Amino acid sequence: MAAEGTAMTITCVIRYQIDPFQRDGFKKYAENWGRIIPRCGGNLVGYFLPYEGTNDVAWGLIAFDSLASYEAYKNRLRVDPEARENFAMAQTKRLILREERNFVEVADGTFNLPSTLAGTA
Amino acid sequence: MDRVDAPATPATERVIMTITCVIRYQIDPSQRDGFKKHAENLISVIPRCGGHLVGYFLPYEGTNDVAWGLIAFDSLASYEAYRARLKTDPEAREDAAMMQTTHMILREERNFVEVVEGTFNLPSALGGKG
Repeated sequence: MAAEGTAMTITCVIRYQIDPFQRDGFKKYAENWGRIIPRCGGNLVGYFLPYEGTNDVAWGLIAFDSLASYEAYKNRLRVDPEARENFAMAQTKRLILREERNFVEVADGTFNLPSTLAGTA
Repeated sequence: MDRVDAPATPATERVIMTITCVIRYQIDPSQRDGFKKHAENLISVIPRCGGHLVGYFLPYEGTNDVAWGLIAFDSLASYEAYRARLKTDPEAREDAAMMQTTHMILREERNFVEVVEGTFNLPSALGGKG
C-alpha cells in the first residue's frame, strides 16, 4: 500500500464539476490517469465518480511527500505524451466544467483502514 | 499508515469497496486541532462499525477551513447499517456529542461516489519521490 512505501505528507484533493451527460467520458479520463499519475511521481489515492445523489461532482485524490514533489509532478505531466493527450481530450469534449484543488494532510492513523466487522465493507 | 495487517496487494483486491462516501467539512479554522482529535477518534470507531476508512484529511496549504473524510462501503445498505451502528456505539456517541458542544464543524456535504477501477491506491512508480 502506498502509505508504507512512500511518505505521503500532502494530498491534493480535486473536486470536479463534470458535465453529467459525459460521465462515461470522465470515467475514461480517470482510467487514463490510473496509468499516468504513478509514472509521473504521484501516489494515486483514487478517482471517484458520481454514484448516488449529486450527479455532477467527481473526485480525484493524489498524494505527495511535499509541495516541491507536486510541482515536479506537474512539470512531468506537461511533457508526458499520454498526459498531454488526456488533457486535450478533456478540453475538446468539455468533460470538466470546473475544478477546485485543496492541499490537505492525512490525519495520522486514518489512512486506508478496512472494516473490522466480519463480512461487511 | 498504522495499518496492522498491511497487505502486499491493494485494498481493492481484498475488500469490495463499491461505494465511497466523500464528506467535505467546513470547519472552524481556529479549531483545526479539535477536528484532528475528531478524526483520531474515528480510527477505531469507523472500522468497528463496518466502514472502510479511506482517510481523513486536514487543511495543509491554501484553504484553511475545508477538511475531508472518505469512507467506503459495499452498498448503500451497508452504509445504512453502519449509520445505525454509530448511533449505538458509545465512543461514536461521545464523539458526536463533542462535535455538538464545540461547533467545530460548521457545515458538511456528502457525495456518494464509486471508485474508477484501476485508480485506487497506486503508489508512485518513481523511486522515493512522491
